[in-house]
Amino acid sequence: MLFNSYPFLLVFLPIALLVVLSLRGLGRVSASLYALCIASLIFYAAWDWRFLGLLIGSICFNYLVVSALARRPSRALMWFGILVNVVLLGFFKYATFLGQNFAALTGSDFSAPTIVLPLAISFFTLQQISILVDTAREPGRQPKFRDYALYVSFFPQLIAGPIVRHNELLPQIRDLTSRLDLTAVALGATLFTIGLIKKIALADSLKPYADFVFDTVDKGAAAPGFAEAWLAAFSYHLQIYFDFSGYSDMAIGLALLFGFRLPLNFDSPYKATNIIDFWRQWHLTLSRFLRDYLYIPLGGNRGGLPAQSARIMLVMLIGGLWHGSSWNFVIWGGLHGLMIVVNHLWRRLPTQRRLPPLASQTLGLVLTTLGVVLAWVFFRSATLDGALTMLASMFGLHGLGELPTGDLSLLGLARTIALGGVGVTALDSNALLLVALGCMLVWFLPASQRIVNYSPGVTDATLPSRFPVAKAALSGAAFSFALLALARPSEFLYFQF
Amino acid sequence: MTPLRYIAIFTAAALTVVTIAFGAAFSADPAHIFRMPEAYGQIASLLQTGTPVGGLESPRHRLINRAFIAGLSQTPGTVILGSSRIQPFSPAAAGWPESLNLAVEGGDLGDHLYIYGLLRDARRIPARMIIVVDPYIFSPRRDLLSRNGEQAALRRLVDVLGVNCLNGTDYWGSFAWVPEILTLDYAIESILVLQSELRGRDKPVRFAADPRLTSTGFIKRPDGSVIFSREIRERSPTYVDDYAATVLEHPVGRGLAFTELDRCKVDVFSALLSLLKNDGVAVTLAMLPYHPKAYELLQSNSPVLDEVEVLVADLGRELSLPVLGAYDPARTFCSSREFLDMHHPKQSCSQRILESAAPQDVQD
Repeated sequence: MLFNSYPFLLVFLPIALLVVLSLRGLGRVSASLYALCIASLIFYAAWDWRFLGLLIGSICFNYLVVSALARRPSRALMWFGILVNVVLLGFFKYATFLGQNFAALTGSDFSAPTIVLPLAISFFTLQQISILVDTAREPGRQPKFRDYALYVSFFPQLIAGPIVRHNELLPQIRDLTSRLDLTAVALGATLFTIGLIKKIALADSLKPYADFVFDTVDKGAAAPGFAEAWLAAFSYHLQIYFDFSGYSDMAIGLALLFGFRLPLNFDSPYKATNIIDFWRQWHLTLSRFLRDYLYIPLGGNRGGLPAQSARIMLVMLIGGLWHGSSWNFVIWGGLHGLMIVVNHLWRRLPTQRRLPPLASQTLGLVLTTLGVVLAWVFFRSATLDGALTMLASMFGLHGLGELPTGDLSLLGLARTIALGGVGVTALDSNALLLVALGCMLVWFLPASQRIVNYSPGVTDATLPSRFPVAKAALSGAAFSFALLALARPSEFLYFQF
Repeated sequence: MTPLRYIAIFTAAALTVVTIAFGAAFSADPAHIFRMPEAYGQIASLLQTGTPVGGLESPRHRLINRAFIAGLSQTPGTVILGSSRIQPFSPAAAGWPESLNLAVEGGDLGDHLYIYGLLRDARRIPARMIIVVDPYIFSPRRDLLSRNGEQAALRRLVDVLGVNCLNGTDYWGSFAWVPEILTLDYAIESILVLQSELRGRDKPVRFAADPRLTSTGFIKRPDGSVIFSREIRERSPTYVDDYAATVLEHPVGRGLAFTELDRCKVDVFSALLSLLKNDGVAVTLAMLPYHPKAYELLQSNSPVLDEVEVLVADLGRELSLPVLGAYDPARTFCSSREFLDMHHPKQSCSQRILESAAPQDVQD
């Protein structure tokens, strides 16, 4: 059940809201939490009921370990818990990949079985590893099983994050009162709508342009020219941002409807003027996890630049591998690691200060964007050969190619956006306009949370102080627009990870 | 502002958009969900009484077929499905009894499904069916149905086919499972229709009960076949040859400029053939040639004509179905003089190809 689908929006969500908020309004707070927990399990089972047992088993196992750690901290028990989680994730996510590489290395005809990846396993595994480590470090109050189960399975964040820490959500669950926060409902609806529009109008409209070139290259067909390759790469660059940040906005908005505040996942990352800042603004909850549970335990910034660089590379390679069992993801992570290392080196050079601030920022934005776009080529390509062909095209080795033909028409662009890319079968002139529009949006508009005045740390929400009527009316109209456009639901990119 | 007021404005704006969309859809009704234009019902009634209808300008044969099938008093013996390429073929002129040509303009795979779905819904499953296979129906660049509307009947049949690849969303012109009136695509189309009507561009379908009265427009015969307008019928051979030489710039050529067949559409087509067999329909697959000059140019531009020929032959072999004709005019012995343009063969060419599929009593 996708957030951007009729079954979710017209059936699941209204029923879940009605039941949970009614119980809460009647003062049955505990019952409302159980109801929300059951709704979350139904949400998960709607994807594939066969893996429901895996989710419940994982919750039960980790709850037992967390309870034991809360009573008596033990590093051995913590490592045992982490190991079980990692083995489980490794089996489902990496067994086939390892088998294939083993066969390729040894030249054997070993055929690795194809294992279906259970949805959300990457996310709920990280979430539970974080609570195991934190509880072992600082044993505190043992959560109730109901609260723990809801913390892991809470459906807005279950499938693709944000990766929520226990100290962000468990206290909210524990301290929930029967008060219905209408301001949170209003903000949640608006934030959800912004995410829905990002997904339907922008990400889905850009998708066919990226797919058209990347899929052709992956199939080994003719290499694109310079212009086509860059246009497709920028289409994907924007698609993945609008797709994933749209999903995160929806998740945060949904949580608000139920009265919970989730952490932010994006903070205008494409405005970053260097790669270090990019990672402080992109997939914040993953960056935070990698920093706190991998980079710092490995030594962090200690030991000078070489040691720090080695740690950065290792963490980014693991971060890349976390996204999927393919060498392309590892290379993507490695490239980002390399760029971060270079960024650290650059910061130690005195030359950077010679540029005027505006020129420095513009140059930084351009270089960061180019670096991120080039790295996305590995992330998007299904094969290594495909990625290398795309890169060769982007460096002009396959000729200049041709810019898309056709009239540049704002009406055509509006129709492409209104229909979410339906009917797009080639790189037409709308691709240029759409990429230009996407760049304007990511460079000049504020992040969604700033538009609606949302901050995860603020418990007493307030409505936007600027243009509240316009924001309410626009988001209401946009919600219906999105609802009408939902005839073609499409999956979110980050579900595959 | 109070949160309650904020939510009220949000809700009011949301309802306004839905109301506008529904209002536009209801007013324009481009897929004729609420109202069928009277003209189509009248055309169908005239055809059912054996009266040819002339003077047709921009008719939608899908709608004529919809009304025609709904009013059928008996089950047809043979039904022909295809595109405008087979529309000029008259079963009556060929001496085929109880046969109908239900081909439609731009006939796509979705149209074949749709029309067979209508026949099934009306319990008028014919004993025999000739499917004239156009290569573009396997193009990955086209929606399953090339026009809006009529999705419910299409969907019903697709559900019967049970082809998993259609569970995705790429193949639906715009509508998955919600009532098609409440989609953005339909709202936009409705608004465009209203805009066109306001500008006086949308002409109602015109027709005349006596074809002799008409000097322009198409004529539809009671057997479903179409006589093209005089302008098309009376083109000189030189004009047709020159016209055929422009095929690559024409929508016909552009529609065939793809390199790989859409596997899902192949599966759907195969499932349709299996369903027809299960329903007891004797199916014949046929291919009509292109004008020699157009064929030569199309062949040099794309391999799909050969690929579709191989596919049709394979399907015929697998399902034990007779396969007639080819896209190559030389193999079907159709000369350039037997074409109305680059891809519409005349009756003589089509009849020669379909001869062996004639109903048994005619062959005897």
